[in-house]
Amino acid sequence: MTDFVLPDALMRALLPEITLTIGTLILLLTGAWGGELSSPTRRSTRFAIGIVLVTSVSVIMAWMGGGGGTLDGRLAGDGFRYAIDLVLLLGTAGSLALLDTEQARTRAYQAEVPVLMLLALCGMMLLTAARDLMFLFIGLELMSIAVYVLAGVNRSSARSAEASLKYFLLGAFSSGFLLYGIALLYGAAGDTRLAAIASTAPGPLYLVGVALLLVGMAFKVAAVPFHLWTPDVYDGAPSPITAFMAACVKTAAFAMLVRVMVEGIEPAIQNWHPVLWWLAALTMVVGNVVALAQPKIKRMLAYSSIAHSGYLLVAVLSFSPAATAAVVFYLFAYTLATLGAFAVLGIVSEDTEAATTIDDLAGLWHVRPGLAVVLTVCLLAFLGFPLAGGAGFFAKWYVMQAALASPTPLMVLVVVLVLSSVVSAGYYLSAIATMFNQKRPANTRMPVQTPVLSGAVMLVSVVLLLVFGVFPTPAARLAAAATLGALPTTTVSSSVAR
Amino acid sequence: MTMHASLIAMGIDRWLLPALVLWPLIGAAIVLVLGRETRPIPTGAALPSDALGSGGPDARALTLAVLVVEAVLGIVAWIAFDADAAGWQLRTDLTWLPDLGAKLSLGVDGISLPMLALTTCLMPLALLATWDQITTRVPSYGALLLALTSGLVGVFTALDLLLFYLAWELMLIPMYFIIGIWGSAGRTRAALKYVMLTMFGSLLMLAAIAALYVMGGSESFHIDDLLQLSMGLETQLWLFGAFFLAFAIKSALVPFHTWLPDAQSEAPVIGAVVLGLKVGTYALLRFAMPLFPAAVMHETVQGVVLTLSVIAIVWGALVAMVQPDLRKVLSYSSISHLGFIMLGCFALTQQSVEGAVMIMVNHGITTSALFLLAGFLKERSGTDRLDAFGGLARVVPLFAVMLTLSMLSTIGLPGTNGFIGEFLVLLGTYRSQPVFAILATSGVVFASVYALRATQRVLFAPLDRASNGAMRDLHGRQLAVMGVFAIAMLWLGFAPQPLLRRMEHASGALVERVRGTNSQFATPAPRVSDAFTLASPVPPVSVGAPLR
Repeated sequence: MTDFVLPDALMRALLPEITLTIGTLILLLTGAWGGELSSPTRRSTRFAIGIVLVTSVSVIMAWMGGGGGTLDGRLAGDGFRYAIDLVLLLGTAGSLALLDTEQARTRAYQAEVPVLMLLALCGMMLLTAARDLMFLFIGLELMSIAVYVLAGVNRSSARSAEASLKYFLLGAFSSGFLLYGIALLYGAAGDTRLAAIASTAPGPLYLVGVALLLVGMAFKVAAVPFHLWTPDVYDGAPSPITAFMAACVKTAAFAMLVRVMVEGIEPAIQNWHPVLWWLAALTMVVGNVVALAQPKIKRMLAYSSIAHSGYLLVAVLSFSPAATAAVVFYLFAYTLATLGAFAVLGIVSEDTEAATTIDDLAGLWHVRPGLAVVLTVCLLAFLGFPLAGGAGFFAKWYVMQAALASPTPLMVLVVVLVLSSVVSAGYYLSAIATMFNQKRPANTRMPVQTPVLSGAVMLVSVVLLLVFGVFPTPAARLAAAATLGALPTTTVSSSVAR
Repeated sequence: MTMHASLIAMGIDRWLLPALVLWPLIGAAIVLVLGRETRPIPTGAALPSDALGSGGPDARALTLAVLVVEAVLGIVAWIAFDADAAGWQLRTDLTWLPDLGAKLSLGVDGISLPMLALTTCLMPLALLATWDQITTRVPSYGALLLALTSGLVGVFTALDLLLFYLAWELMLIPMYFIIGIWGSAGRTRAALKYVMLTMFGSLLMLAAIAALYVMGGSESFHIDDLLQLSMGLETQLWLFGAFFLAFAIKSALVPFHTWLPDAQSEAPVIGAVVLGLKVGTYALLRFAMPLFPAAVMHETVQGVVLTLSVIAIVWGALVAMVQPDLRKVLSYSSISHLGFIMLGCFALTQQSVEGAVMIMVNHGITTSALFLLAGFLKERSGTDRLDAFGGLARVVPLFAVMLTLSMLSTIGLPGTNGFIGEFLVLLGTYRSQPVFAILATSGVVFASVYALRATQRVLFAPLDRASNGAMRDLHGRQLAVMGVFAIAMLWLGFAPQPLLRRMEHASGALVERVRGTNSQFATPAPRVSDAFTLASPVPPVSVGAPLR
């Protein structure tokens, strides 16, 4: 492992991020100068989708070119990074499309909103690539600060502002834990690179550092008991932003968790294994049980997303290449289902101020069967129902398979997983029953016609979910290629950064 | 050259089963796209463009056409089956998920073939009999019905456990919507209860399938491969428990039966008919019992299941006696009969297993007929309550004949199809479990009480409602369908040999697999089908008036 890296190697390793950043800056400047146009936000949103597509091309080229991590072991260039990047780009593109719809209806957003989303995306991509705790922290903060602002971006809404403040305060607190953990680990290992930390024998300092790091990360993935911000923030933020947080922030946070756990602190994890085991079990059970009692759709989906963190934690705990692939596949399916569900909610919800309740969906099938079917497929995908829920089933299947085949089989955790899935059927199916079994109340507003971009999001999500629900092989192979790359193998020199 | 050999020579075995599974799904798409509403949707507001069903042929007729083709394919499968050969027949293997090792592997044997033929033939009949009962949102209804058919056929033909699981769950969602959208007042709750309980079992089964798959080296889900696994007793008990729970819930074994009366009384008639099909016990015989023989033969398991079976027989019959609704009587009668099936499965002799399969088929026919008849009553009078009727024997004589015949078949009167199965189960159970056999026999007596009570209330009690006096008798479509049912009931009552002959190899193989090859119970002393050729059943019973 070399300690230094040439600038051009760094440039190559960060090419997708640099592409994205340049595009974002251009977008920011046009937003500043193009204020007199009639709908700057929508134009800037569509431009942002274009930037995301260009970045995707750059990511695909980097992946096909064999990746380009740096030799000093600070940035990864493995399949895992690029696969997660693609999921993130998909989620961002979808959220931007939903933002376009929302803006067409409410005109509540400034042209900076897509810029902030792209900045957050940049942070997420850096987070996914980081093999060094400092890079990791930079990526995390870039993502988090942009998302704090995004949560409160609807300035006419008090709830949105409250959500934003709450998220910021708790988020800053958790970043503090994370940073403290990083500091302790640095003290123990003498280096911030994961490779160095992995080859350090765990001492007390090290173990406490790992614990603090885990707290910080558990907050970001919304694991119980660090989940309390999630329902408020999901509920308070505007729908497209909620979709962005549910899909992308979760994906990025899990990518970080997997990489740090597997590459960095696996030896110490044996000490924390029972803690993580309980964290996963609690997250699944609490998320699903509390979701049962939620009358508001977005709060229900928030608790459901907490439960999904629990399922993913089961895969993370399995520590095998198959488990990593399962996480990637799961996040892909979850992103699709989230986008589809929020696309429908964006059309169904009456206005941005009053939260949509499940009763507002009553009889949707009788007036807009297409919307009801899309939402049903997405909810069944969350539930992990085979065929009708499409790829959601195989997502859960791969997690279960990995957990059972892991070095320490997690049989009990798998049973908890399936039983809490049964609980989740209670609220998903109730929402579906509301749409199909009830009559449309006479005085309710007819949902607006589906705008093109939202329609495209729904179509893509549902078609991909259903196709991969019967033939998951192509997606599963891509996910299987998304393994964590080998760490640079040398003994770590202790002279670094002294 | 025999019929089946010539069909095989035509290469029919290569595509028949995949066609049976996929055709209804293709048909569902056709019905959804081309089908037209029977009546315009009664909403005041102008409909948006994505509302379903605008032009094209009547969705009902289209659905029926698809189901008739399916039934023809099912009958072809019945003919193409070689009764004298052992093992899977009409076997087809298609690549599906090479990375997981899951294959689209389909095949039938003597246990699945009768269920397959029954299902495919029952669906068009049931649709025809309930022709005028569903008139709203018909394209969706037809598509869901076809998806349900595909799931049922998939369950009866899948040899790959993952494929089986998918088909198993495929049955669930269409049924949920059929109950939830077209059911009666308590439909939402009944549908949710049905799905939640079923999912509770099936997800535990999924975990067990995953465990089994990983234990086998993560290479194959095929039943033949998984049968090679050697597992310790404890593992077998856990996994068997998960499978058994799933199948016991699905087949409504006491104490997991509570969803069945609710679902069957809230569902539209065709839903109640499909819920009466014994998919749960079929899956038990196909997967759970052969996969975990040591668990099945474990003393505690035997004791618990046999006791539950006898409780189901007696308790189901007792509860059926006091039900105020006709449909509830039929549901509890199903629960009672399920006890006989379970008893036959777990007594594990050649006769008892054959008897269990016989009940699965014949009870499917009889209950379907009864639910359709109850549906006719509801259609004409708007209620299921027994005390709302009386004296119908004079008003609707054809209906009365059919109801009496079906009820006698439920009781298991010799000469009707209900007799053979129960007789075989009791006979076979007596060989291995005499005490349980004797206890179970009481169920036959109770059955005659609830069946005759219900018949008496509907047909022969005083005619005290004017509206009932003007009731219309069976006519046209309904009469034709009921005629088919009557022929089937009597035909199978007098000539069960073709059915028994086909299931002989499979049930013998099952008993051998679970009990071990040297078991005295595996080889029937006289071959069962021969015995029934010799012994001529009791002469036909005249149905109708004398029962008063």
